[in-house]
Amino acid sequence: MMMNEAVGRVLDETIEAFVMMDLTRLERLDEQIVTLSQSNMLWAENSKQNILEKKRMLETVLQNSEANLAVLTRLHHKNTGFQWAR
Amino acid sequence: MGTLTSLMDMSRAALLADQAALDITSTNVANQNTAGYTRQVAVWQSTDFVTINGATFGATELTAVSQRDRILEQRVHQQIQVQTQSGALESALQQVQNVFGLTSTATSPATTALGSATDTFFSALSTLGTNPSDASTRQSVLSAAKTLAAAFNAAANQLGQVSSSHDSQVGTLVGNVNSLTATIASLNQQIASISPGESFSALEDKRQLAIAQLSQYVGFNQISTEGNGITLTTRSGALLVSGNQSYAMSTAQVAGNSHVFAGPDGQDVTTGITGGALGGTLEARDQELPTFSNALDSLAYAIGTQINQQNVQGLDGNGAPGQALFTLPANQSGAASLIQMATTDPQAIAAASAGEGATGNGNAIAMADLSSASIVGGQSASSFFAYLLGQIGSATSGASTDNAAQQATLSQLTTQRAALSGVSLDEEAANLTQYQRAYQAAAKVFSVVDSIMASALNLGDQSTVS
Repeated sequence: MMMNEAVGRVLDETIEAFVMMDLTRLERLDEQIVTLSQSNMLWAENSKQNILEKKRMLETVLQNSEANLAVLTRLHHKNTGFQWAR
Repeated sequence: MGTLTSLMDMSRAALLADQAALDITSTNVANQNTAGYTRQVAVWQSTDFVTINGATFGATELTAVSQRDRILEQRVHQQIQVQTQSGALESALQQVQNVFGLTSTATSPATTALGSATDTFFSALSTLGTNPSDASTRQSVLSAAKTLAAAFNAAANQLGQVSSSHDSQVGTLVGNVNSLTATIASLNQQIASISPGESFSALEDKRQLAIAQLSQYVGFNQISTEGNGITLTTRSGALLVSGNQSYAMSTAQVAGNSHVFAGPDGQDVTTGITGGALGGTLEARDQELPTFSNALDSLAYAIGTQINQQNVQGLDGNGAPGQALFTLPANQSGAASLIQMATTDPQAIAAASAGEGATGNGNAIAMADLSSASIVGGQSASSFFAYLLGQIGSATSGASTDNAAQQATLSQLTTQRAALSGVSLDEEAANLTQYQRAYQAAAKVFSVVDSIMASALNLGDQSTVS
């Protein structure tokens, strides 16, 4: 398997697992990508665009999630504070 | 000091509260498939205390609280607006790709009708340079020129149809917006008329559903007002709903396109509309499609004018000064849809240069050489066309990726909305922690991929990544 195929698969699975909030799978993917980064697999030039698009997609989802997390954290703190006040 | 009567009253209240809790549960079960229904939980509150023989007893009453947070709902609505806009844009760009016959596998200009027609035309001129007196070769040039003009006309007309189709969608989408804003205003009124302390949960569910539906059509701002009202404005601030009053959008033709008017003063908000299918449709119609149409016009105008200018410098098959081969508008605007053949006579092609006599080939060679000359945007015709196709492909691919990412975010957010409406704060905290850890894990994957890509891009083709 070429490096691009492996990275593409990890990106696809990461997006899917992140959307599903599958933490176990994400942690496994986390280990896989670190292992991949230390391997000597070859990279096919002609598929970089495809990987870049998948990477951009994960980046967009992460950016959106960052904003969502901030909202959710604020809401949770608000609820906690409300309970404390009561 | 409590009395036996008050104790009995409390027992009755407790029984009623138990019954109400059962009712809430059964309502939740009955409505689990109802669109927009928000789960309710029972909240017990102490209301009174009585003391009997030194012991204090608390009475309880129960209220049903919908598991909803308006900020979170707004975040979901905003994401729906972003996602539907990107979906509409992606759909429009795919239609543009179809106009040029591009697919994910067929991306070469030569595989498109226009690219092939351009190549064939210049190839025919080149052949004419080797055999300028041959009648069938002259006819081939004329036919190729006619095919090229027709290919420009077809591409321009199809782009025009895509644009018209988006223009006509504007009216339909505005109609949908108006229907929903009227519903939301009516629900505002019904909610405002609810007595204090009385639950308006069912009405709020309906209103949130209508707002979610509205999010699919247009982007808007939400402002909470007194009396549990919601005011809606377009992103540029034109009122859509205020209290029990909705302000219908309208459309009117301005310079050949449907413009959108909104608010009490009926201001033109066309350029300020973002979000939802309407935002995506307007973005495609007013920003993306004109860019590609203009590029196509530039190409048609450049080829037409350059060939015309070269043809008038030569001598035609009868030895007379050459005339324009193509009819074109005065400037490049609309050139692709208007370019036509100016002649049907093969002898009108001025193959000979001035001074060569009618059988010369100098001007045919000069016209053939235009294929590699920089005639449009500092590029040759074929390079410019390849660049245009690249732009279309890149825009479509980018829109597709963006839409997929926005869909993924919406899906995630919707899941989180359900998870964060947990019954207990502990449950909420667990969900939030899991979200944060998932975010960190995904961010780490991204970071490592980023690092791998940086190495790969630096090392080039078939690199070893270490």
